[in-house]
Amino acid sequence: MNGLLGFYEGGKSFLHGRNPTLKLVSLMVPMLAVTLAFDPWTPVLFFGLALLVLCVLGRVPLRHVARPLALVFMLSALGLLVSNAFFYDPQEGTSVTVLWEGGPLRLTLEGLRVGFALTMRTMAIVTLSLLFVATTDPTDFVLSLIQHAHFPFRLGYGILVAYRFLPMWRSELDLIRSAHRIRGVGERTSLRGRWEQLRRYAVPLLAGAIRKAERVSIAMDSKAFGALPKRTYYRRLDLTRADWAMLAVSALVTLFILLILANAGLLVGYGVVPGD
Amino acid sequence: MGALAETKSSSRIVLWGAVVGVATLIIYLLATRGEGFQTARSVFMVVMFTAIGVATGAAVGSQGVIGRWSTWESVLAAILSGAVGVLFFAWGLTIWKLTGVLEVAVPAYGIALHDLFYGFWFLAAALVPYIVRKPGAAVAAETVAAVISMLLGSEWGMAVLITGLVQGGLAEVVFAARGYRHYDLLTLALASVAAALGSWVVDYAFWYNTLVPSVLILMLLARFLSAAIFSGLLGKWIGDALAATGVLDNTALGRARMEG
Amino acid sequence: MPLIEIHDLSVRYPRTAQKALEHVSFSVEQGETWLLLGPSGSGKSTLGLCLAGLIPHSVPAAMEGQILLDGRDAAEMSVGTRTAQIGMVFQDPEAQFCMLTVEDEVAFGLENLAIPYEEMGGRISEALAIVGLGERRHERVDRLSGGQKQRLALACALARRPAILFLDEPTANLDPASRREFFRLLGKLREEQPSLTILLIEHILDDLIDLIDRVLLLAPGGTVFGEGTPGDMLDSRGDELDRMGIWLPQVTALGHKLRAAGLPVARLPLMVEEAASALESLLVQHTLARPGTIPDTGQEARTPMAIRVDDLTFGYRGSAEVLHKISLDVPSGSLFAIVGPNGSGKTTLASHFADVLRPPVGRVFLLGDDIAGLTTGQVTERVGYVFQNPEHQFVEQQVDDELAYSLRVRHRSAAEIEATVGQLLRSFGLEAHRRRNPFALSQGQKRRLSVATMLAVGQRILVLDEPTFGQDRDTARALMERLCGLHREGVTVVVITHDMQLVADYMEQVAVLVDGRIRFAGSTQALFADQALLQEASLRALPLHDLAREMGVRFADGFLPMSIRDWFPFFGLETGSTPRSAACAREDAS
Repeated sequence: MNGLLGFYEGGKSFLHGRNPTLKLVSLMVPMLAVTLAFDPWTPVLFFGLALLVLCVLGRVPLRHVARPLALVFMLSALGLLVSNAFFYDPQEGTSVTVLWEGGPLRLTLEGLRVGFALTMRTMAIVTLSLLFVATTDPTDFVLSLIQHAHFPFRLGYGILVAYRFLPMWRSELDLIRSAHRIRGVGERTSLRGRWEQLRRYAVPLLAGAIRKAERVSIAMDSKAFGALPKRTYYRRLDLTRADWAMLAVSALVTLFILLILANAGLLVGYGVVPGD
Repeated sequence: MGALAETKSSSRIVLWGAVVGVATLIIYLLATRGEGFQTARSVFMVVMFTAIGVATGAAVGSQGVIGRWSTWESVLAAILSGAVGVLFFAWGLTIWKLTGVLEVAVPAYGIALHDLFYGFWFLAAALVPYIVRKPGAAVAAETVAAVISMLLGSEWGMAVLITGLVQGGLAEVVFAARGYRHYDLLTLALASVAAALGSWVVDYAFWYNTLVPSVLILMLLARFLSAAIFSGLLGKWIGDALAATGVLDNTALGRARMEG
Repeated sequence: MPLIEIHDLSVRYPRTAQKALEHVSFSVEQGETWLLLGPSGSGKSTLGLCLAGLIPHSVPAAMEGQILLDGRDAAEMSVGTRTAQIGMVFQDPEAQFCMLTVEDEVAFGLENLAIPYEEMGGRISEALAIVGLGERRHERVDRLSGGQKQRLALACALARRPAILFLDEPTANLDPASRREFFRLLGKLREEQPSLTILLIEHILDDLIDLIDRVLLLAPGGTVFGEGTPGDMLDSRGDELDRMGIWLPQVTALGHKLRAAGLPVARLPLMVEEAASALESLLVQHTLARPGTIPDTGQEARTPMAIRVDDLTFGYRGSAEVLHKISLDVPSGSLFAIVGPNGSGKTTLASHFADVLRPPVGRVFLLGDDIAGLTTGQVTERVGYVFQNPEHQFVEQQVDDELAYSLRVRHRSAAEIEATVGQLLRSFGLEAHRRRNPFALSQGQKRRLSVATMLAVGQRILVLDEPTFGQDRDTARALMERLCGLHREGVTVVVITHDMQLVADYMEQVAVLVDGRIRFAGSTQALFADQALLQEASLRALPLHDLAREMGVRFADGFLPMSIRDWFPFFGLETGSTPRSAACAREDAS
């Protein structure tokens, strides 16, 4: 039940050792930049850069990354390319170069450009996310959110509990499916059938989960969870100079890239039009 | 939590939401004065920025309240959000990918049609508040769902955190507006609709701002309808079914059912 | 001054009229190990929750009375101080932990108490070393076995250096081998830390009775009805305990039944050595010819096989092989057990009988037909499969709908459905609950319901996965009696279990699975006579068998007396004088 990007597998690198919250913020900056730009160059550059950082600073081998990226490209990004290429509706007053027309479909150059830009935007965002997911331990991430991002601490530990239970739920769901199947509930693959199944399985699965949740929270309280005003931490997640440096560099590099593109007249974004 | 404290929380969260929302709107309008910005100022952009502002405000306002929940409430909220996520990965996702065919099969409007099945994504935002009934529940549910899906390597990556916060924040505003005392079907449906608005707004910002307005509006309406049914209605159904099993006796929903 | 003093403690949960605890008073000295014994509903767990302060802080309940810890009123202590004094171990190994790795989990308790970082590492090492998990420090918790998880829970408690340890049925969800290990560990702990005060709730007493200093007896309704040393308590209160359905240690139960039959048993023995000396004088004979012995397998060969497995090999996708070339015959109408250590593949094998897992062609035959050629509907008409967790198979919101479900799916007439459902409700004692939500039933009721649903269509084979797991004696017995009833009607009953007492008392045939291979298939008599085999398969020899060996008692054909009933003739008593029949004899056998 893992997403397309797979999940954290451990390792050692510059990125692995960085504070998760600051890492998140550092990656959000280029992500926002990519979101605000409409031209294809910005995302391409960030995509390439992200890939480079992933392999060099994150020491993640390219072949680990190739499959998820290819999957995302085919399942999500391509759709954007196609829909924009054929159905791009320009702003009033701008002209459109039609490359091919047939029935309701109209392939336009501008559409292709925009589609390509959006596709690359997807790839850039996914790679930036991959940068985070591949180099961050889940427990560290949640603990860092609690310690540094003021995430409510009981809810944070609740997330760790839920994360612990996920594989168990998955196998329980399989058990429930078998149990229902031999009761005579056929597995229908139709849409309606799937919907019925969802409703049928929700109750046993969630009921079991809630019961376990109750026991876990009593166990946690029995260990004095949240009983004292202050608590100490076994996992060290201090904010080091390297973390702040990472943030600074990320922001500066993002700005730098945007400026270069703007100067080259390639940047298109909110309020920025080529040629300005 | 006493009724007075609840009122304080609800008004605080609404206030935060309103303030940040208005502030964002003002900043946006000021920033886009001038000639070259005509294209930037459209109804969609205004809605987008305001919604994001309101949601952020509500989320920030909720943060303190959630910190005061008990262990049981926190673990329950997290586990419900997580378990709902498992259900999706197994079913919702398949339904979503299956119906994805629509996007390609039906020209242009396929995306809107596909969005008729979008409602599942907000189930946690309706179910968790329905059961837990505390201020901050919607924000908590969506944020937890987002963090967990990030940890599991969802392809939307960090964007999912933003989506979660905005969806949760807007849903939260609805619950706050109802004083955290009413959890009937209408409230749940409205909250789901608000979450749908949040998802639409973020998707607009990230992916869809090049689409034709008519498609965008249809998408929004489709999501509204879908959310009301697959999140509001379904959430209530699941919550009630669970309460009937007795596992929720020690929750706000369970207690409400015993009394009412 | 006693470490713990409980004065007149009464507890009532919200929306229940019945009190969970009523006017409970007792004191515990430092260093003592206590056993809290009582049937379900006697408030034992509630007592633990009160001691730790979880009632009323985490679990809502109305509490009256006073608890003194080391002379101080517990109600006046802060939650932090309170929980620091008591380490708790709960019964569900899956639902005690919140962190991902072993190390983090032990650290969790220390973090909550704001133990300085410098001290944590040492304490964690120490605690893990005591429980024997030192090498698994960096492992993920979900990769541990059930027994290891419970040891981890113990380590978490010990790391906090509490004065009191409260264990609420720590081995309820463990197999016998892990259970023995756990109590061995507890014994070691008592020796190494004599100042540690331990309170334990358990209901299978055989392995732990020598650890106990004092016993507190609780009755349903939460009142104390006895307190004293284990010897005293079991001896003087044996009748009451037996009536309440509490599992006595095997040899104690034997002594008790002998006494009830009129023999002068001076004092009920607690352990095998004691029993050997206590009962030696009462033995009438050491060897006995047995009339009407259990029919041997030759007779069974005439009747068709209910299930036949032929050279089955199976492995889950992407994993190693779980079953290797298994061949097995389950005779029609037999009471068949499948046993083996944890992870030997018992459930996987049984899953092939009921279409939970699809066997390849030509491997598994149901009543003569190749299962691979049958549809799921046809398979489920012949075999009922009862899952370990009954909730997994509930599909409806009401008990009567649940029973009717299999019939409705097969489009049976409304009249037939009504009749069958009514009959099932009656024979399984669920009439009063017909409109209730299945999930809201008690454990015993859920189990009965799941068995009933699996017989609705007149299935002739019933497969049950760990049906008596974690249950008290009465519920377990009641279920077995029902299965006996089915057996008498000719239904083939296959039970997967690691409860060897169950196998000894009720099962005729048994197959032993070790590492995915059949190590033995034959009568239960033969199995229990083979000590080497029992050892190899990590199956426990029962205390009664150990006693038989100790005393040199056996039947003429070489087999040992297995159940209490079997022992009676050696003491000159008629088997008919046992108050309850412990095995389901068929009408034709003697």
